[in-house]
Amino acid sequence: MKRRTLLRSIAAIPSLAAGQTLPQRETTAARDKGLPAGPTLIPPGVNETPTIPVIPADETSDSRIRTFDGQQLAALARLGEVLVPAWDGKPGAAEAGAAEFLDFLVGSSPANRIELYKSGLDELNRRAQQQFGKPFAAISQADADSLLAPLREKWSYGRAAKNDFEAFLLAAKGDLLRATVNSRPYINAVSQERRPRNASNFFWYPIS
Amino acid sequence: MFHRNYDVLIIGSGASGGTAARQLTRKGIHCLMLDAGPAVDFTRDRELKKVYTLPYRGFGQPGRFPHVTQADEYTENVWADEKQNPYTYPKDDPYYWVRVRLVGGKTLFWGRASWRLSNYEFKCKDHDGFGENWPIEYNDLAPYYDQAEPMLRVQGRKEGLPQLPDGVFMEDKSRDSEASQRFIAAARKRGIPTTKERVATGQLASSVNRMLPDALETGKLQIVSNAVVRQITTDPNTGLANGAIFIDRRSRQEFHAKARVVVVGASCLESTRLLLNSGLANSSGVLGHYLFDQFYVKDVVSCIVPEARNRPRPGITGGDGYVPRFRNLDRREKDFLRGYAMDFNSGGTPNPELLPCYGAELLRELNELQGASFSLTAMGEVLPRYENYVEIDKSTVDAWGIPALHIRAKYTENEFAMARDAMNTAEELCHDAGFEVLAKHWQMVPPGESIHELGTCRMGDDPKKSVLNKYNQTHDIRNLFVVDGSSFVSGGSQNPTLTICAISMRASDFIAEQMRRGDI
Ligand SMILES: Cc1cc2nc3c(=O)[nH]c(=O)nc-3n(C[C@H](O)[C@H](O)[C@H](O)COP(=O)(O)OP(=O)(O)OC[C@H]3O[C@@H](n4cnc5c(N)ncnc54)[C@H](O)[C@@H]3O)c2cc1C
Repeated sequence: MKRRTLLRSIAAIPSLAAGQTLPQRETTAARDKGLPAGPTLIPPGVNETPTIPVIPADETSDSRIRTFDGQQLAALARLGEVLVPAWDGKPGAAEAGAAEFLDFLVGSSPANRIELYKSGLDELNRRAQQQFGKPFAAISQADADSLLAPLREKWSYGRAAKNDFEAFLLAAKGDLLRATVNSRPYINAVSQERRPRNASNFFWYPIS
Repeated sequence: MFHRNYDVLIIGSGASGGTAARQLTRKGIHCLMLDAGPAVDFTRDRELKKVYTLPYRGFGQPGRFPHVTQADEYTENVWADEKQNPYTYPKDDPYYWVRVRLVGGKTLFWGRASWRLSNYEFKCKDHDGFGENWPIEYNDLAPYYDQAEPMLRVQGRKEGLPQLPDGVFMEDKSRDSEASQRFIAAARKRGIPTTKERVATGQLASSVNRMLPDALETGKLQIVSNAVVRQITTDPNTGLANGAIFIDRRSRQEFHAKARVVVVGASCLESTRLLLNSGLANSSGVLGHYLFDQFYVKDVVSCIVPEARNRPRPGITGGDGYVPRFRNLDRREKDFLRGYAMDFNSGGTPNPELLPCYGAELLRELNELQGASFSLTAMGEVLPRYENYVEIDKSTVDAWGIPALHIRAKYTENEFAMARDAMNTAEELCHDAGFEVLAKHWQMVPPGESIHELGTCRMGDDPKKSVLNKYNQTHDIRNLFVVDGSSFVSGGSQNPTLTICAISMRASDFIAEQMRRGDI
């Protein structure tokens, strides 16, 4: 049987057999340290090979920042708070780690996208410094609003192509929103809703 | 040694190749099909996953598919890898070539919109003097459309429009939403026709579930996957095609498949590339030329249906429809030739980029406007021009050492004028329908992106001006046929696949008859 078929058939069987994972439960040791419990595996029989449960990296560790410098990342994080705040019981960009994720995503992108972000964040800091004497991360919502005025203008095609700073703001608005609504905390929150957003789709494996 | 000599060798298993296999095998003809890609196992190759479990949170690996805007992180592994399958274009004129190398080809992922062409396309030159007529007319193809629609289980509404002939549909009895009704009424006032989308039904309406099973049922089809065809071979004595050399995609082992007749359906540009690389069927010198497609202006107009804000009741928005070509039918009425069609649909949420706000205000708007959007996409006819062409780029080879294509395609003022007209017309109609227009533009996607590439191996009565005759038989080699969109002479604004299937069926019937008579 193929691995995924096996997993699916396991899911359908209520009782657990050897080599399977038990639902997560908090062990005393974990609770003591304020840590979530890991999955528990019932030891398999001698001739059984269990599927070892694993969890995603971002549930355990912070993403290493490797693209933006401290000021750029602080500005992006603040931009996330302003553009995509927590709202209506759902997490915002900050809770979704959107800025840290974009450090990774943008850093893995073609050079022009890295440049768009770096120069856009520098420009945001430069304007904040020039107008309010502080970096963007430290200015008030009202002051941020004045710097973000281009995002309140009616959309027109090709505007972004004419002005790098506006292009950056538009890209950041879209990316921060998407990085937020596609994040685990956000989807966990919406899945509690009466009609949860469908956040799943068929992923195609490489076909050999 | 096998020394098998098949009746027909079919290259490609997508819409054109799959249809040919179905038609030929059902007439008792033994076919061997070669496809460059592997066969899909729908249970093993796909798994339902939450977007946050994907490594790039659904954004996809940046830069992996610079020319496939349709690729997302869920489907990244199904598009032909651009590094393994390179092609080139002039620096400032990008061409977006979207390919799927799997058994079933692009039909595994197509949008299923299925329209007939009309004599406005087949006899286009008679109509406005530009280009060439097809060597066939609507009535030649109509009986094959009649078979292709049930094969794909096309659903639609009959309208009696000469520019969009009706067919053998499963009748679409769905009710139009109020937004659609308002849009349709606004169009009618200006004399612009509308209809429901005509689509092949079922979650999948592909070669692998609609064409190949029928062919396999006959016991007369054998399919080799991972078979990258490099060259069509000919008999040095007769000059006739006698098979093809293919390379195993994984091991690179080479094979020579033999057959009495060779049918090429590797998709428009791959078929032409194969002929060019084989040095065949080009006595006219037009092989590779007259490349065209349909230009797309995605979301040419995006609107909000004000009454749908906060979803007061069901039925206000939802569903889709189609504006068939209406320009330049009875008289020349604009500063461009030919015309365009538009898809419209409602019931989505507007693109956040179009909303001039951010923060809690944006999130509130997106919440209130769920289901309230109405938008149109324009799809226009691109004039076939000699100057738009493909040739072999001798300096670039693919992962199997096969020379790659260099593609040159540019839109011209005729297409730009049409796109502007589409934008203005769509805006007027939306305005008349009482929608709030959020954004409008006429910026078309790069050539190729519509995935409706056509021409380069066109049909015609004159062997000096065309590669194929009216039965998709090469003028130069009587047992060599090309049955995909490369054979089109013009394309209208209708999505081409239904016509590709009909043409492939017609060519296959001709092949069967010629074989029966011993002519090939
Ligand atoms: C996302 C998407 C949406 C679409 N929506 C629509 C729509 O709504 N309506 C519409 O009409 N059309 C649509 N299309 C286009 C439609 O899919 C194509 O027109 C149709 O599949 C073309 O059929 P074909 O046989 O020419 O090529 P394909 O279906 O691409 O099949 C060609 C086959 O040839 C194989 N091949 C290529 N080169 C070689 C070689 N050297 N050796 C061996 N095998 C080879 C390939 O592996 C492939 O399997 C869409 C396409 C996509 C991707």
